[in-house]
Formats: sequence, structure tokens, C-alpha cells
Amino acid sequence: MSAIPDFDPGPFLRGFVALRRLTGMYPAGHPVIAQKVDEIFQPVQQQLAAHGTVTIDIIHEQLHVNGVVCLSDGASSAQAVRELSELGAHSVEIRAGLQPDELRRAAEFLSTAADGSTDEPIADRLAAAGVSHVSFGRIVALDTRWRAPQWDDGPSQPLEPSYGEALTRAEQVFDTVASGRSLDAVNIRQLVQLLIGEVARSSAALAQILTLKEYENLTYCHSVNVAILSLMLGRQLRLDDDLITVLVEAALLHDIGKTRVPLEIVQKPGALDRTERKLIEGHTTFGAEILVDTVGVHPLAPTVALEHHRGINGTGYPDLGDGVVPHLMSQIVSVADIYEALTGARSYREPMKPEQACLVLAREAGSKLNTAFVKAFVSAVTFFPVGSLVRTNRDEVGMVVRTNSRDPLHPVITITNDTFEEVRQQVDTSERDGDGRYLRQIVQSIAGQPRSSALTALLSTGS
Amino acid sequence: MRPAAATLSKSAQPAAARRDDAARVEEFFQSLARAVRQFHTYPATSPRCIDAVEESHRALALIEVETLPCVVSPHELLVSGAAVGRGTLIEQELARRLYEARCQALEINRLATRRDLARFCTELAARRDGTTAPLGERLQNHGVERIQVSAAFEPQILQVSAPAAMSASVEHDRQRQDMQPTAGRITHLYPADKGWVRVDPGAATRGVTLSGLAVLVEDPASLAQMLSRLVSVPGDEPLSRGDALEQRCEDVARLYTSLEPAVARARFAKLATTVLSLEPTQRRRLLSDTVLPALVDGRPEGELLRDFPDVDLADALSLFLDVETAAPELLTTALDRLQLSPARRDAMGPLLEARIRERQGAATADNRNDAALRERTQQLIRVVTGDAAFDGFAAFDLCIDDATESVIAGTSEAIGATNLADARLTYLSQLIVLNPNPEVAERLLREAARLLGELEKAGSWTALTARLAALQQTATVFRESRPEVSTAIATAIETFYTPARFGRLLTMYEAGGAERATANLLITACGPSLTGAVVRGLQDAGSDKRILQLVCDHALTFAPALARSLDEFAVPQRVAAIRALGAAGSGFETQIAKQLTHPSEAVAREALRALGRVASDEAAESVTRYVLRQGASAAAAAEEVIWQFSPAATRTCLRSLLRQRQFVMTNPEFTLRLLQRSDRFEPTKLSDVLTPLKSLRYRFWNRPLARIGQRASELLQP
Repeated sequence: MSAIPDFDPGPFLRGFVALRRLTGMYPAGHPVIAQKVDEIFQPVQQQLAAHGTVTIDIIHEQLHVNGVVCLSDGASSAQAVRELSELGAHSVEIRAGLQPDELRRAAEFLSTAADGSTDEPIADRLAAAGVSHVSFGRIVALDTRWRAPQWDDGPSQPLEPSYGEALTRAEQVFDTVASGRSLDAVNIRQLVQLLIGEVARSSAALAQILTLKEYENLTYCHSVNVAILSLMLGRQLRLDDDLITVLVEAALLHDIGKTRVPLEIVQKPGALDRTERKLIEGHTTFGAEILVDTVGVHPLAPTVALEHHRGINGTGYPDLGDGVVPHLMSQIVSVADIYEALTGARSYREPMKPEQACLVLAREAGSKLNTAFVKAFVSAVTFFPVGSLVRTNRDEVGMVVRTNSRDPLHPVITITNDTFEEVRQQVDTSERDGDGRYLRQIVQSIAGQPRSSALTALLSTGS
Repeated sequence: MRPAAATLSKSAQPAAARRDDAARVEEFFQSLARAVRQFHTYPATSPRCIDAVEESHRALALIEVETLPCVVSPHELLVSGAAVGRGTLIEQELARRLYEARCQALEINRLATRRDLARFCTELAARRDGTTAPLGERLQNHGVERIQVSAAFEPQILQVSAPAAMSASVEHDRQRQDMQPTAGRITHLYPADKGWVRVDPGAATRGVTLSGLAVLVEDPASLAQMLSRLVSVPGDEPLSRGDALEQRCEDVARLYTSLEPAVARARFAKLATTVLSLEPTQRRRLLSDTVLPALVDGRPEGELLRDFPDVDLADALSLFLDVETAAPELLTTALDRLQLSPARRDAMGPLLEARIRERQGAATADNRNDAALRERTQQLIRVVTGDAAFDGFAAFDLCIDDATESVIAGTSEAIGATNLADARLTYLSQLIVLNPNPEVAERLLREAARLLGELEKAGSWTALTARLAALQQTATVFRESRPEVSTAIATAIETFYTPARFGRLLTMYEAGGAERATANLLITACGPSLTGAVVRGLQDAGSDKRILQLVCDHALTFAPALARSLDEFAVPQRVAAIRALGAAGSGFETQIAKQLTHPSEAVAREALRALGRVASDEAAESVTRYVLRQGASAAAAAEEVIWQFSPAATRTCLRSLLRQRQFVMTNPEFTLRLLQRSDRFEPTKLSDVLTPLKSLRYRFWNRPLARIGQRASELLQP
């Protein structure tokens, strides 16, 4: 159905409504009716010849022709529009092949339809009345409301003090930029030192960051968490202290561009249109621009802000040209960013558990994410600490007695019985068969503590 | 910038001031409307357009308020509720155009620049068709931030062709939704006021919810198309069924999960059929990017796989084997998530086995009956029982093997080796491309010039070349669409090459070997933007052989600019420039030919040589004209040049000269020399001009002429 730029539907509607009145007053063959039919038939016939179908819709008392708002005033057609609306005919569709008499029959039908109480579709009733090229429709609003989970906009549980302080300071940094002022590099450096010196050293803080987070914060909390997760990955990648400082700073500021995107768009649970998508994707460019203008920020910070949504395979945004591979620093932050986003709540989904999030990272490895970095990250997340009780795919129950640094998902376990009282054999779950398949997989962690003295003794001897 | 406090509210202004400002606002809109008219009629660079923008800019500066908001109506603009411009140029050129461009409101900042106004006029005056992006977006794309345009309400009317009886289902669904637990907040999954549904007038429904729409529209691809329309903006092309499904599959599945279980099952089955009917590449993309990840993550769209026939399901699941970290157990995990019946799961075994074999390729072709392989593939699809939290990990091999260890070990060093100046230049260049706003570009380019200097100082030639080339490429790309940005980049490169830097470049060039190769790369990277430095270099040291050599070696790059500046050069520089033009080949003959008449003999001689080097037909014609005009004085110099042309061009030249009897008579020695060397150019093809010369052989009293006649006769003999 093509748009009709020059067709004014006002005269047609006015004529049609008048015809409807006339059909109640005069017999079918009366010259007044014939004249009116002819008056409205000719212009519409021209449009049908060119466009095949003409659909006139009334929305908010505004006329639309073939889906495009009509440029005429509408004031002169107000009465006709009102009358049709009252009849429940907000939409008139006319198709090629229309005969003049069909217009009369349609108008006549409309004047009698109001008292019809049958459930038969109008189209069938029109067809029965000999009208096959005109149909009427009622326009009703599409209710696009949806029930979305409601999340707090920050952590509600008591926070590890240094982590709490870091969040407060990060919020101030984001507020500063959002209010149009420039970033203070000294504040940033202090915050980076707090993150490296205190937050990252606190197991409690790390636990709060690694776990699923039942709050939705896409700006400062997310940035602090990504900074700590990047630091964790950076350590796993054996970066020296200077590079770690640069990494944490870059990760902390990677989403600073979101301060230039309206929060309602950042948090919008529903579908984004092209303009909104462009705006949200623009946060990478905005961020880099903000950081370019900030004196004292490390030169790689804008790189990370610009590239952290780019995949190693060239996918993602912004479009930086073919063959542009993100800097390694950006690749590290990308892994942390995706993990944090997945384990955080969003208005359109529940937060993921850490193990689920790691699976998503694993799936993206090699395409969007650097495989080695994903493996290093998953290694850094200790799913099976020494002493934890686990079940294997062979339905064996065991206790982790040693982790494998190169294969942390396959620790050395001591097999026990279901009541954790017996110590049977010790097995290395990283062992594989001749085809490279693991002989055992850990499929479940079991809540609880080893209760037998034999198992506890194993832990104390470290064997 | 004016402080924000300068924005006066209407009530805070004295009445007289308000009246004055209203007049100024109207005056501004009048001038803007005049400018739009000029842009509609004349090119944007015409003096009329420039003057109109200037006038408009002046009028804007006189307005008191910081920003000037107005609402667009078909015949006028509404400024602070007051109608402006009905029946005037404002109606014709602004209100109507803005209305037709589907603009609802306009907000002009008092600090809008001439460029902003000019771009606004250009875009508003441009003819709009169905594929043109909305005005606001076009202005944004051109970096116009001080003129904001908001788009008018544009509803999407969805045709569901549902009979009245269907309304009962929709109402039923609505009631069912209303009775659902009310946890969470109400939000809009799609824009609130954009979607409208055309239903049968007999339908008793009050409205249609999104899940109601999923009830009414049976075809998932059509539903996806409708959902796509709800997030479209004017100018967006309607999406095909496949594209819409690819983009909206997640939402379609989400809507289906909200339906009654029986209806949802039927819809998912339909969705599966629709996905299978997609074109293979598109289906594969949809499965790999959306459906399979959803299956592993437990999202609803993964469920559609359950309704795939076994063969298609096996094909789909085998796409998992493309995942780099996939362990063979990934297929097991996927099958677990699908919760297939035991019988169906058993049936999947051989199918998956076949696909795994296929992927193992020729290497395993000989081992088709290998028992170990069979055992392994059987294991791939074994049933894992129990609700295991970590079973998913079995699907991926995340062990840190030697290759991973090697990457990890090298990461710190690789990051440490980053050339920071190069990294900064990289993103500065990228930012200019992403946001080609002249003001932003100029700011970024200042920093870029400093960093280029650092690279040059450090001798990071590869990085310097790459960054200069990237900037030059951006300048080339933006030459048409963003001339201001293109010029800013060219100027930045030109300014970067100060006389001192250009001198260093020349030194490298002179050194030969690797250094010359580097210099050549740098020159190529800078392209025409280096012309300024070259011209300066020529003016400062035109006779320097290094610069002459450089200019000639890269003549094609510099020739256009040199041709433009030729008349500004003193003799030595002019000679050098002409030599470069000659080296550039065809295309500059006219400019070179003009130099033939230069009073300096050196210039004229160089021009002749240059034309000889160009050796095109046009060059030959120029030389001929020159010789005919100048006669004997020029003939000697031109003689050698003539023989440098191609045979055809030389013949043309000879024909032109020999046809002129007067020329022959007055320049017999020269003519004779031409004839003596003419036998190489198929003289029979010159018979039309040689034949008349034959009669000269009887002029015994003038020996040179007689010899001309004699030679002509000889040449004409077969």
C-alpha cells in the first residue's frame, strides 16, 4: 500500500457522509443520490488507478491516508469525521475495482448498520449487500503496557564499607559529568586507588560484586563493578601494577558517556526505535569525547570507552571500520562488562546466576570475546572452593580438596558417601579419556559442610 | 556562552520588552523563511544564500531568550502560544515545509551558528521522498545540535483482519492477564501511543493488548513486522518478513509465553514453521544468534526448537559445534534443555552422529565404522538426569591449555607495548569520523597535530604513516558530504608539515633506500594535503634538486594544486612546477601550454619539454599551435619535442605544420629537417600534405625549398 501525498480525503468523507444521509431520504435511483455518488466516485477512482487501495483512517480525529497523516486542516471535515467515528467506522478501505453503485450501497449499509445486532463480521454483511470493494474498520488503541520486574536502583543490603564508599564516590563522579561539569582526574585517581587498595582486597566486597545483583543500575554501580571485575581479570592475566591502575581507571570510566543519554532510554525495558538505539549506542562516542577533553586521564581510557561494545570479530558498535580489532584493554573490559550486565538485574529480565553468566561468556568466546580472557575470567571466579561439597555426573559425592589452577572447573575431589562420613578415593576431575573428554564433570554444588572428621582432616592436611 | 539565568521567563519580562522581542522573533522567522526560499532556488554556496543566512543569523542574535521554541502547525508557527506568520513567507517556507516534514516542534538556540542555519535551510529546502531520514535526524547527522526538531505523532495502523468473533478471544485474554499476579511495575514494551489496530466494526473489544495482538495475528512473521513498525521512524523502509522476525524473535516469543498454554504451544509451533521457511542463510543466522543462545540461557525463544522436525533440529543443534569453546557435551546440554521425549531423544542420536561425522570431514572419512567414534557420538547424546546447577559447564571446554597460557603470558607485554600517541591518534581519527562536526573536528585535530608531532619526533614512521593516511582518507570521504570537516583535516595536515618538518622529509627522501621508501609512504599518506608544504618548499627553494625530484615522483598527487598556483610562482619555481605537471601525464596540457608564451625562455622551454613528456594528442596540438605562431624562433626548440610524441600525434603535428604553405616557405630549414625524419611515420599517410610540396623541387633558385620538394617526392614514392 503506497502513500498518497496529494490526496485530500476530506471532500470524500464529507461526500460519503452526505450520501449516507441521502440514502435514508431518497430511493436508490434518485438523481440527487446519483449526483453525489458521481461527485465522490471520480476523485477516489483516480487514486485507485494509481495506488490500488485507498485507506482512510481516523485517529485522534486526524485523518490518515494509507497510513500517512493527512496534511489538510481537517476542520472542514470535523463533522463527517465525528459521524463516522460515532458509527464505529474509523477506517474506510476502498479497493480497485470499485463500482459507483457500491459506494451507494456502502453508504446505505452504514445508515442501517448501527441497529444491527448480529455477530456476523461486517465484511460478510457488506458482501451480502453487494459491496466487495469497500470495507469499514474500527480503530482501537494497541495497549503496549507490560509488566516488568521492579528493581531498586542500587544495592539495598549492607555493603562492605570500602565498596560502599567507592559507590558513593562513583555516583558523585557520574553526577558531576551529568551536570555538564568536567571530570576531576584527581578524584578519579583517588577512587581508583580505593578500588585497588581496599575494595579488591575485600573478599566480602568481591562476593557482593560477583554474585547476582537484585538492583538495576546501569551507570555508577555498574562501572564500579566492572572496574573490580576487570581488575580481577587483569590480575589473572598477570598485568603489572601500573597496567592494573590504567585498567581500573579505564573500566571505571568506560560507560561515562551514558551520562549524556537520558536515563529513561538507558533503562527502557521495551524496544528501542532507530533514534533511541542510535542515542544509546552513542554512549561509546560520548564517553570517548568526554575523556578526550579530560586532562589527566590515561590515554587508553577513551579507547576503552569507544571500543568496549566492539567484538573481536568486528561486530558491535560503533562502526570503526573493517578489520579494526579492539585494544586488549578494551577486550578485558568487554568480558567484565558483559558478566556484570548479565549478573545485574534489568527491567526486562531477572539477573543471572554467576555460573549462567559464565556460560554466556563461554558461548561468546572466539566470536565477540577473546577466548583466553574468557577462560581466565572463569578461572578467576572460584565456583568450587576447597572444602566445598560437589556431585559429579557419575552421581558421586565428593569434597574439593585442591583446585587446578589451569582447570578451575575440574578440581581434585575426595569421593565420599551421601552422608559425607566415608573417605573413599581421591580423583582428579580434570583427567580426560583418550578422546579428550573429561572423565567426570561437576554438575552440582551441595550446600553444607563436611561433617566427618576424616574429611575435615583431609582439609587440614591439604591433601 | 550566556549563563542559563539569562533565559527570561515570559512573566519576568516587562510587557514592552516582550512586545519588542515578539517583533524580533517574527523578524527572525521572516529572515529564516527568506533564507529557506533562497536555498530552494539557488545553490547553498551562492551569494544569495550566504547573505540570507547572514541576515538570519543577525536577526537571531537580537533575540533575548536563550532558546526559541515553537510549535509547528500547517499554516503558522506558534511561539509561546502566539501564532506567527500566517499568510506570509513564514507560512509558505517554514510552517508548511516543517509540517510536511512531519515536524511537531522546533527549538532554536540563540547560539546557533551560520553553519547550523545554513544546514537547516538546506535540509528543509531539499526535496523529501519516502526514504529520506527525518529532518531532526538529518540535522543531527550533520552535527547541528543547536536546532532541535521533534517529529510529529505518526501512528502505525495494524491490520489484523480479525472477525468480530475474535474479539471474544482478545477480551478473554485481557481478562486472564488482568487476573495475573501483579508483581513488578507497568511499563511500555513498545511506544505507548503509536500502535493502533484496525478491527471489524462489530468487534466489541475496547482495545488490543500486545498479547491480544499475538492472539489475533497467527503468523509470527507478520506479528514481527507489526512490532517492527512500532519502533520505526519516518523514512524507515518496511522490513521483510525474515528481517523482522530476525529482529523481533525475542519479543514474539515473549508475547507467546504470556498466552494461555495451549495457544502458546500452537503459536510456538507456528513460529518454528516460520523459522524453517526462512531463506537458509537468514535461518542459520537467526538460529545461531538468537534461538540457540536462548535455548542454553533458558529464554523462551529457544523453545521453538521443540517443534522442529528431527532432521531440522539436528541441523540446528549442530550449529553449536561452531562455538569455539564448545565441548561435545554442548549438544547434550541443549537436548536436556529441550526436554524431548525419550523416544524422540533416541531418534536424535543417529542424526546428530551423522552431522558430527560430516563436520569431522575427510580426515575421518575412512573411519566411518570406527567403534570408538560411534561410542563417542552415542555419549554425546546421553541423558543427564537431575537438576544440576553446573551441568552447563560440561558444554564448554574452559581449561587453560597451552595456547591460552601463551596468550595470557603475552598480554601484559602486548598492552605495555602500546604506542600511546598512536592509540590517541587512532581514536581521535575515529571520533572525527563518528561525529563529523566541524567544531569538534577542529578541536580534535589540534590535539591530533600535537600527537603526530610526537610520532614524527620518535621516528614512529609506520604509525605516523597510518594515522596520516587515515586522516587523509577521512578528508577524502567527507569532501562532498562534510566539506568543512574535510577542509579542516586537510588544513591540519598542511599545517603539520612546517618548513622544518618538510625539510626533514626531504632529507629522508634524499637519503634513498629505506628512508626514501618511508618518505614516499608518508607523502602518499598525506596526499594532496601536503601540497601546501610542497608549494612553500618550491617557493623557498625551487631550484633544490631534492624537491624537484620529490615533486616529479609524486606529480600526480600534487599536479592539480600546482596547476592552480602556477601563475603565482617566480621563474625557478615555475620551471619546477611545470616539470612536475609534465611528469603527471595527461590532463594539464592547457595550463602547460599557457606557459609557452612566458617571457622567460627557461619557462617556455620547460613547458615544451613538459608537453613532450605528456605526449598526448592535446600536447601535440599545443606544440603545433605554438610553432605555427612563433615560427623559426620556436621551431628549433620544438623540433625535438615533436619526435617524442606518439606516431599518430607526431603525424597530426606534421600534417598541421606542412599544410601551412606560408610556414613552409618561411621556415624551409626546419621543414626540411622534419621531412628528413618523417620516413618513420608512414609518410604515405601524409600524402595529402606532401603532394602539394612536390612542386617546390623546381625552385632551383631557393635550394632549401627545392630540397623540400625533392624530399616530399621521395617520401611519396612507394
